[in-house]
Amino acid sequence: MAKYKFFKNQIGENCSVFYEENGHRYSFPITGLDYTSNAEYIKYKEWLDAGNVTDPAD
Amino acid sequence: MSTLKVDAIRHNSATTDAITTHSDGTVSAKIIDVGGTGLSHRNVLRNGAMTIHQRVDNTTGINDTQNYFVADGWYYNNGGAGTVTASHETDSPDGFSNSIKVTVTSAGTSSGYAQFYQKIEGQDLQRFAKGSSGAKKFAVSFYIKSKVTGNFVLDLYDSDNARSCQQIYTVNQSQTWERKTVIIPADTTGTFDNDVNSSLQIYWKVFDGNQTGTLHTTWQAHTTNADRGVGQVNALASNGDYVQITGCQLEVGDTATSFEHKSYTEEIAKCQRYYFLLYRRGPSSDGNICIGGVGSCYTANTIYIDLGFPTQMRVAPSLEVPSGSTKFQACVAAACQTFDNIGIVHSQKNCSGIYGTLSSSRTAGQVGNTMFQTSQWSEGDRCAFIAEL
Repeated sequence: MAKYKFFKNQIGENCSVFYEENGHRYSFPITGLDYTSNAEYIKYKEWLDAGNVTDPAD
Repeated sequence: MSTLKVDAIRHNSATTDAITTHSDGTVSAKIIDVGGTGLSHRNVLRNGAMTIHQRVDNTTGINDTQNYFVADGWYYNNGGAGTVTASHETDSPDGFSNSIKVTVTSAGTSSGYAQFYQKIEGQDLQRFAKGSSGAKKFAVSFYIKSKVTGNFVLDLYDSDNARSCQQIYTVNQSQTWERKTVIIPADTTGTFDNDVNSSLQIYWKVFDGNQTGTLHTTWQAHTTNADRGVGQVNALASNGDYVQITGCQLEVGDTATSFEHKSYTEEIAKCQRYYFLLYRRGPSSDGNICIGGVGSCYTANTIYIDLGFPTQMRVAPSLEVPSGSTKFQACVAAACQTFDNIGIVHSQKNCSGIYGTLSSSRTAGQVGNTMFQTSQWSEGDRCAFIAEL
């Protein structure tokens, strides 16, 4: 199981990614406007660039 | 002691008076700046008086290199400095109500580091004209209270250009609030990016166990962290040692003006650009609490909630919610059911959607009110939008 998992919106697109940590669930956008400077997205991008693969959405 | 008695003051070349004195002891003046900076909104830092602490929790048992928020906008960062508690306090100098504090609970080794710091967006730093021939100095002022006295280092790091500059100041009296002023020279090299990303980090060091090289008392290219804390006393050497700061201000020029207090309304809005807390559960349940957006059933099993933010966030934010089921409730067409598997959708700087799965089917297109079912939450659970630097 990877750290990150895709999350689909109501029309079935992978629009965000989530992970769970210490009883909290964090999700952040990977499409749309103004998301590339989100600190969580930057960490996620580094994780992807290291060769990791996101789990598919439920 | 002498008194200068005049009715007006005028520049040699001016045609009107700059200052006019009045017989009742008052004065009218044509002031165009304060210490080289504007008459208001001089402080580039947010939450300098530490009044906003949306996350509420203090953090005990810190013994790692993570960043912890001790107040909105204020990180505490610790590496090898033993075990500490980072807290938000009401103890403060006259005219203030809050401070942030680090206290040693188990002293560490002589290596490592510890510091409070804040990151600042590049677009809020353009007034310093850094990287130009007209570059301005950085005036930093703050109150500090420390059990250990001695020399401390204030460190500015330009992350756009990998340049840094530090100055020493001295804490003279143990366990006493003292106001300090530090002037950092101007830098004609390296422009701050005019964007929403962090361009400057300002560090209040409290411990630096890796001191080699020479402190950069003028701006220089950054090559190693080891020379950024040279001369810093170990203010976290023994159990019970502590350091507190508040009243922090960073402004343009060579003069530190008095702290520019803001209303709670102004300060919370500034902080909500980076962190917008919708709800945090305290020690006991608050019952069912409004989320703030109407829920609509996109399908029979899914619910979608649109939420607008009170201020524009720095970037499209992340969403934090408690994990698990039964945390949220939707009352649709005279029936209430829980929903879970929450995620953020269609997020942008001004609003976001929350999307979840209903525990029992409704009819697509039905709408209803949505709530946090806080009886199912634990103390400290939060629903928050996060756009931190």
